[in-house]
Amino acid sequence: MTLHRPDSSTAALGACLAAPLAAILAMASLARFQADPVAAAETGYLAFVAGVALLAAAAAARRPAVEGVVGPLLVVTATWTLPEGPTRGAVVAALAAATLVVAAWRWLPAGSGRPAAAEPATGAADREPVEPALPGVTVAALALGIQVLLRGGELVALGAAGPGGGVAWLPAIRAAVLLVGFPAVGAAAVLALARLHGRRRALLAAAAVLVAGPGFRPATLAALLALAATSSLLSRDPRAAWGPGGGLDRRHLLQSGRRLVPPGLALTILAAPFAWDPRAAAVSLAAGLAGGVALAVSRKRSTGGWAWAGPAVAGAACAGALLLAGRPAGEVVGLAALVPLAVPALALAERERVPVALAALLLAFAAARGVLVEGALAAPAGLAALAVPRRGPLAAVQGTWSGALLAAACLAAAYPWLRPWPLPDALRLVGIVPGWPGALLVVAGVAALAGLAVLVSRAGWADRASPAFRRWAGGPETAGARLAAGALAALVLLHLPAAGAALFGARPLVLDRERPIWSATIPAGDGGAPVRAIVVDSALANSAELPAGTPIATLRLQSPGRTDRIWTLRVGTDTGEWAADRPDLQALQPPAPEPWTSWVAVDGGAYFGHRYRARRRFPEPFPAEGIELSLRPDLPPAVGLSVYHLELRP
Amino acid sequence: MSGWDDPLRTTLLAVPPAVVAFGAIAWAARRRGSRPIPAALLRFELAALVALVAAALARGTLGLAGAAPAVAAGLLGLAVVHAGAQLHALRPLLGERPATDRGARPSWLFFAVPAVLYLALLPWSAERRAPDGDEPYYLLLAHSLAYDFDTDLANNYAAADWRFSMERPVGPQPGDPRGPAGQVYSRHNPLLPLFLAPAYRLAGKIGALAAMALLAALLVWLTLRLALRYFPDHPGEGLLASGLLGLAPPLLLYAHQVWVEVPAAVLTVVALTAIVERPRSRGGAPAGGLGAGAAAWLPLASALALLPLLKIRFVLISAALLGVAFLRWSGGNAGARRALVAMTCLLAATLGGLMVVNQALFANPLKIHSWSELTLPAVSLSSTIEGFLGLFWDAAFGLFAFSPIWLLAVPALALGAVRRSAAAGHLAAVALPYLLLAAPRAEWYGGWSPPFRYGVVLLPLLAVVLVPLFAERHRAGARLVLGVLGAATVALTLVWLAVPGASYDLADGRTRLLDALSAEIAADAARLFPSYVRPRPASWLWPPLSAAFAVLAWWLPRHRRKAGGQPPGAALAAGAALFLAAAAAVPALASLLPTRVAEPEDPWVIHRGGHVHPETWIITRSNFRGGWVIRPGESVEIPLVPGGDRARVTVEARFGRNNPDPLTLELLAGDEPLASWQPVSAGDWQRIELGPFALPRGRPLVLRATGPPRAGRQNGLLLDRVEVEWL
Repeated sequence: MTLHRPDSSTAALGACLAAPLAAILAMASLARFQADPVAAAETGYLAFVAGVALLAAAAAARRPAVEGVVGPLLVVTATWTLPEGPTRGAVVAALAAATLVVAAWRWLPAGSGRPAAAEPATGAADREPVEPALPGVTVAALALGIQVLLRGGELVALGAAGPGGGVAWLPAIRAAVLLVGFPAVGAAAVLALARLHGRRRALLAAAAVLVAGPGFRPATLAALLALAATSSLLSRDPRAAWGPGGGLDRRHLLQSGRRLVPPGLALTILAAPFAWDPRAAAVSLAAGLAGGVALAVSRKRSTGGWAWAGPAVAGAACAGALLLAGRPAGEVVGLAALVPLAVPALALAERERVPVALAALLLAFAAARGVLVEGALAAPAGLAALAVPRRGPLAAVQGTWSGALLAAACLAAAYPWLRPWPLPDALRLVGIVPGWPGALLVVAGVAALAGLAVLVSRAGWADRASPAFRRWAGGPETAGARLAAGALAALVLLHLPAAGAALFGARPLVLDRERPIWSATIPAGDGGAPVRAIVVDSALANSAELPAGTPIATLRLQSPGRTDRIWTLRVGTDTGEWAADRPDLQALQPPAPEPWTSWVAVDGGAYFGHRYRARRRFPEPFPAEGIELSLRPDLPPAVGLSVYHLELRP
Repeated sequence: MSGWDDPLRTTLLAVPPAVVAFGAIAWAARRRGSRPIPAALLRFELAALVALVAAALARGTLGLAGAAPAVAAGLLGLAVVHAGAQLHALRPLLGERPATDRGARPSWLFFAVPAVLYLALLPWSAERRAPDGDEPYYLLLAHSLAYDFDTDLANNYAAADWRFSMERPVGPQPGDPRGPAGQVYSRHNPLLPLFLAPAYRLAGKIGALAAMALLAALLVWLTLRLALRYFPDHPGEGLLASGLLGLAPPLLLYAHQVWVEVPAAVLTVVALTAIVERPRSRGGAPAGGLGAGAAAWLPLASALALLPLLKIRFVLISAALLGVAFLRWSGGNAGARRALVAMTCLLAATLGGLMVVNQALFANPLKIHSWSELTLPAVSLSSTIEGFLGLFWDAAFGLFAFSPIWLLAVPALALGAVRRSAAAGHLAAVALPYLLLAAPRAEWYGGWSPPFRYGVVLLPLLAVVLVPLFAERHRAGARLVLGVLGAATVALTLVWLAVPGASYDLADGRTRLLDALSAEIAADAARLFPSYVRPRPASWLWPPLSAAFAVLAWWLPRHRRKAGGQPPGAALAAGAALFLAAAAAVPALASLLPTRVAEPEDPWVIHRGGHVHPETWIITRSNFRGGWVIRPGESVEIPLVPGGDRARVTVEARFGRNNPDPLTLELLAGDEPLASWQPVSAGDWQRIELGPFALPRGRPLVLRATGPPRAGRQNGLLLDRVEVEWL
């Protein structure tokens, strides 16, 4: 894999960053002077999140960076011209994410438009080829951009004032650590991992870990650091060591063969997470051991029994997890499927990497059972990526899948969706339901695409094809990446949700004590419109003290000569308080389902207001001619229901 | 949002044919030796197309129905990007000196690319913006010609035939002539409807709009041909200039609209091309009189004759073109001079015939115009200057505000003047008489049309004079200017594409975009931009400053980039950053610069009752002093940006008396009374000076009308302008 090195001169970096900085200025200026405080808060939030993503994309881009100019321009245009609310947030977040994806894509060989360089030279003492190091600035920039998209939702309160109106230092420090510290450490771990395991595996591991996290968080950092530190401890790096001047000196290193990470530091890195969460640290350590053993074995040209130390450790971890209190079995099985979903190529690992794949699967069960912090599956997911071949069609297909999954996760985790666990939504984009059946489907698909890529690029077959086709197909890797991209595009288009009939436009319907009932006729042909499902996006006001399960509203589908279909919307399952995250209500913990979309609200400080989605599916189509939504009369008088979207699906 | 109600439905349906058509063009181009479009760009376009189609189809279900304009802008913007890339890839087809052989013409592919683009844009633009201004009448005339084979619209109005192209009723315009048997004719000339009639008969309104789109694509091709005739050594720059014409507003938006300006531009370019490449007989020798190679003269003669038949004002273009031809061929043989004399006679006959017909139908040889409009002493110098500057710099109707990249015309004209370029000279000769007529008109801005309507006919010539300028586009300063203007144009074009109606402004000194921004920040952002309907200091600052920036930045620094210096993209990026930084300054300046003038009808002023005057859709709005009427109990609240603690306030108002009750205008700072005034005479504009008094910071200036309560018609005060002088 040949990566393109961006120009790192200060002047070039300055030119790259000028447009994103000016874009932040333009958005911040609008936010500063907007009269509506809610609109201003949202604009400010978008300026921060999108601005950081744009800066990251510009820093990662090669020069001249089209995306470094066009991305900021489009983001500012959308921010300035679209009305505030989830639509603007979705457009701006999509543009920022797309800019970052384009920057990453152009950096990678697949998007550069240039043919990949010849295979790198093989080190004298090792079977693994010697590759140039990843550019640190690019990796750090991409890490920063991905982090702000995946975890930007946690930064909304950044502007909150502290006691007495001063700076709230604690949130500010937390935000700095979250936004800068975590990605910086993560980028360093990825760089080290690339030196040890090769660039493709390191990037695949990073993608898998970030999806499993999501984002850089203690569990994901522990996983990446453990993989790098253990591998460094267990094998000498032929390319890197600390030179006489304290910097990296490749010539010196080629001779010395020192370890990449000093052993003392490596041990500290491995031990530190135990102070935070021993279970997560243990799983990370086990994953690191499995990865390190695999690397050591491959460098020693040995395929002896040591190769199975990894699975043995993982098995022990698995057994240990069974003894600990943890998640129930059903949940464990479902959660463990994340690893093959994120890294389906592990099921097709080369012979010498089978122990790594097996260890990753065992650790997936151990982590799903015993690690209760967020990002529990990060370590096995990262380890699984080390089982992927370094090159070939399978690696290319896996790379495309990992990139697409990470991009989709970024979108799902970004404003206004703010999914705390974006992987299921990302998978649903291509019609895959999280779980083992879905994982098996993905594995089969990846295998089929890799096989097809081999077929397409086989010399004899390609010779008979047209020159245009041969150009398109390229080598097995190119064919694999393109086939995977095409398959993903087709799946996205095939699995678009069926559009129904939205019953009202942009203005929400508000039901309260004064106007408790809304009704409408459903335009349709004879016999009414067949309705199979109803979707309602709504939120409650002044409902924080209502217990979960309280009936809120009754939705009635009417058809002459038939019994009405009635659906009672309830607090906590179908809808919830819009201001559930407002500081004064957080203590009450109003019951609410997972928010569908969110928006930036202001009341003292900024927080997210939410709207919730409820779906009701009927066993058979109902020929509806009328619909009525009525607020329950027994609710407290202040309670109101806002309905933003009411859709009848055929 | 589903199925047939989806505003993106037809746009999505247009995607597959557009993709196939662009693919066919690429295939044909490659067979002719064009460059391939970069594979990375194609992959990006494909990925973006899939993402946008998915977003378009899923947005309703995701609860993001309001994202339709953004998705449309993405799809249409993608089409523009691809068309630009395809045109760039066609560059080798022009060779190095393509016009050495005077018979050589650019490939038809240079026509096909903009044609496919315009047809792809058509569904969204046509559905989101109904025909306006003259368009409904041209379409109705096309209907009448296509189905009745006459220009009598009486039966068409009676049968409501406008419903085939409009959703609102269309009736005869005041002053439309009527025949002895009850015929109703339109004041609009039938030449354009005659051209549209076959397409209209085949496919109705969409057919007519598609015909206009093809005409616009032809204009791009013809402009390329003309640029290659003027500057045979710069085929790449010629392609760049014609690409700018075709892919940037205004043509991008006029392409599918039914105005006479695009056909007039086509005829102008045809005529000028014939003049530049002097017609030759079949033997290759310069064509002599009409007897020698008359066919060679045909394009010029027919263009000159048809221009006034499109609209009588274009006779000035014809006459100017004829003058250019005389000047260019004055040293030629007697045969050429005879041919020109014959064409002069033809033009005179055409004009005479037109005036006779007008006299017969309208009892006025100039139809709805008067001879006084043609007499220069009757117009004031100030209105001429305002109209001229307005055509280019007005924030609502000017070319540079609509599509800032055209500001390049300023350095290009300067370069043309320094080099005594024939193209610049011809542009000046053709444009000046026409602009001298158009600029002083009360409706220089066009009205009910996208901006620069009267200037569209000159647009191809403006594009052609850009060619020598583009030859110097690699300078750092040039790239900076291109970055600034290009970024501004991209941002605005996306808005025009997403909301086609956003470019239609009322002649009230404001624009839709600036109104939206002003309302957003509760401050007057429009005052920072020029208006020649409502002149203000910015109106006189912007032209010299922007022209100086474009000229000086283009040629400074004087030295070309040294090897190893800043990368070429750096200056472009810096330019884009400069534009974004300038945009950032707008809300800040609008909110921080002290309020000196407030127009009470503006959207950033808070209205508590009252109504705008004159009514929104009034014709020739600029003839009226726009204002806001308040009646007893109603008020306007002006958020002030303070420039001091004390101020003197001057209000320009007109009292409208509808009953004998007194009416008092109260001036308040928030709820604290400052002064009051009682009008005595009704019907006259009065300038009321109040104060000085202390104006506490943070409080709005309130103008409230008070009077005894009464049923029936109320007295009212029309407030036009409030001036605040800070002391």
